[in-house]
Amino acid sequence: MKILAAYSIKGGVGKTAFAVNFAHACALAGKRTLLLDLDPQGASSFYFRAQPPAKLKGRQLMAGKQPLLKFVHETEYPGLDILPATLSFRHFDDVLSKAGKPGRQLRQVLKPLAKTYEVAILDAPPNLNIFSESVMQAAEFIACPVVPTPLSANTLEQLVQFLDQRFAEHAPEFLPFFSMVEARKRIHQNTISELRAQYPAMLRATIPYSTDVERMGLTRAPLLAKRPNCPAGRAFAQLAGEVLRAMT
Amino acid sequence: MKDHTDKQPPTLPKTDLRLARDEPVPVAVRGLLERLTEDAWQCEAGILEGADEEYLHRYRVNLRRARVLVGEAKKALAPRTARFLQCHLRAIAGRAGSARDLDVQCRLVHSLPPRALAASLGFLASLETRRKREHGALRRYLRSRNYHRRRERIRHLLANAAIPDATIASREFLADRIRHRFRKFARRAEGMEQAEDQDLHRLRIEGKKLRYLVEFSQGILSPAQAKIWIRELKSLQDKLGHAHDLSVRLGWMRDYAANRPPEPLETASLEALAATLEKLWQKARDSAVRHVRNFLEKTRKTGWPNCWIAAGNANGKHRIPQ
Repeated sequence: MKILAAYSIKGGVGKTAFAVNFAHACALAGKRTLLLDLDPQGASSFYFRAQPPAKLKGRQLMAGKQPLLKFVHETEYPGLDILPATLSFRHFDDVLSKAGKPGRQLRQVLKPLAKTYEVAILDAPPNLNIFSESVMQAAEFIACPVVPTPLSANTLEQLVQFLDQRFAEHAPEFLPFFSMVEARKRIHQNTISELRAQYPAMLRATIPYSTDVERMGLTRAPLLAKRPNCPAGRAFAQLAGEVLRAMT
Repeated sequence: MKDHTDKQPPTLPKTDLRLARDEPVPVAVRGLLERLTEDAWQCEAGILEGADEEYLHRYRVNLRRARVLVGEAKKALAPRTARFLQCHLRAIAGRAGSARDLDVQCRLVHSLPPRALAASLGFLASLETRRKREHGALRRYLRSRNYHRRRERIRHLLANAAIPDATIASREFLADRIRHRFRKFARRAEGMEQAEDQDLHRLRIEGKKLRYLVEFSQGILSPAQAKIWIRELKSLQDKLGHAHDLSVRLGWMRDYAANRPPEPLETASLEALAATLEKLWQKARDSAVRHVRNFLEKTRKTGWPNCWIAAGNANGKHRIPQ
């Protein structure tokens, strides 16, 4: 099972939009996929209309006392399931900070999924804390949306430095890509060309700033399911193709 | 977990395709038409539930077989009955065509190697969206009053149609139709090397009609040999069908690529995929042409279908009453 995390230190950059659309693209490509909504805000669960069961408790789940597969929901898309988020997921950091080896804890929790799924996508909350660190440790790939602004470039730099320091040898493969790009803005154009020169691993596909992505909150469906031919839909298809190729 | 890759196709009961040998042609044809249409109606629930593609496939194939039978036996049925049956069957079958085609095309795109599939995710997503829309439209049609009226009309026509005086036995009728269809097929197959896609498609349809007729004759004209020839015709059709599906997919992909703003990366991957598909299509086409040539050669050597029909004649059990 391949584990990919949609992660960024910065919030509001399009992690959930990527996670939702990429999960759907994986299912389209015939891969049995599980999207784990680990963000207590539960945006991915909202997009897929998945209600978290009352019995699902963040503390117990992370402590390995509740089997994760029991709470998995089917979505209306064949081959795609989701673990819905609850507000109790805010305790993940607390549980992990008390655990002996927090880095291994999440990996242990995800282990039983390998028999059922080919791809697991972790929609991680922003921030840089113990939980983020375990997400980075559990994932083989980290897809990181970057808004082409100086502030976002700064957090990208921080993340790259952190990955270099924390994972000297077994670092996850880092797949940054541009998100919420407004091609008409000079500042976006300049930041893109600077960052592309600085990070050759930056993926080619860029996700435009688009109302279609915002409308996902109304249609509550991935773009590739509702509007595959809109510019953002095409960009997500292209990006999913690139990430899938990197994962094979 | 809902997953199309894991799902086993449902085992639907097989339709008895044999024309009753002891009954006059109009009665036997009517009996077979009733079986075919009733089996098609049985698949409706599966289509409405969206349970499996197999229901739609079976539904469509049974309606197509019924249409071929009505077309072949129009002289044996009352002309008015045949005309109305054809009209209603064509109207119903026409609604299911696109949904099934999209099922096939989506399955074919899914079977691409992972890298090619990753390159065509946008194309696949647009196919899936169309497929969902067509299935929705089909489900709405199957629930509509118009559809139910047509279905009841077909039932009524089959139950109450006037039966013309039977002057011909089923075996004689089938032998005549198979000879006629085979001649048409052989004529169409001439000069196939230079044929265009449309010609190959028409040849495939002609072959399908011939196969259905041979299937109807299983219990009457030399049954053991019928199985051999059904297998031959099936494999011939698979080859022609594969070439046709590839050609359709290539056309759709080109349309998709043409109707979008130029995006260098995606255009390049689509072009690469189209080039691969074109090679595959060329290969499939050559193989289909070769197969048709071999089939015709075999029929020349064995004298099929005449010798086979004669073998059926020699069988005392099915001799036509003089």
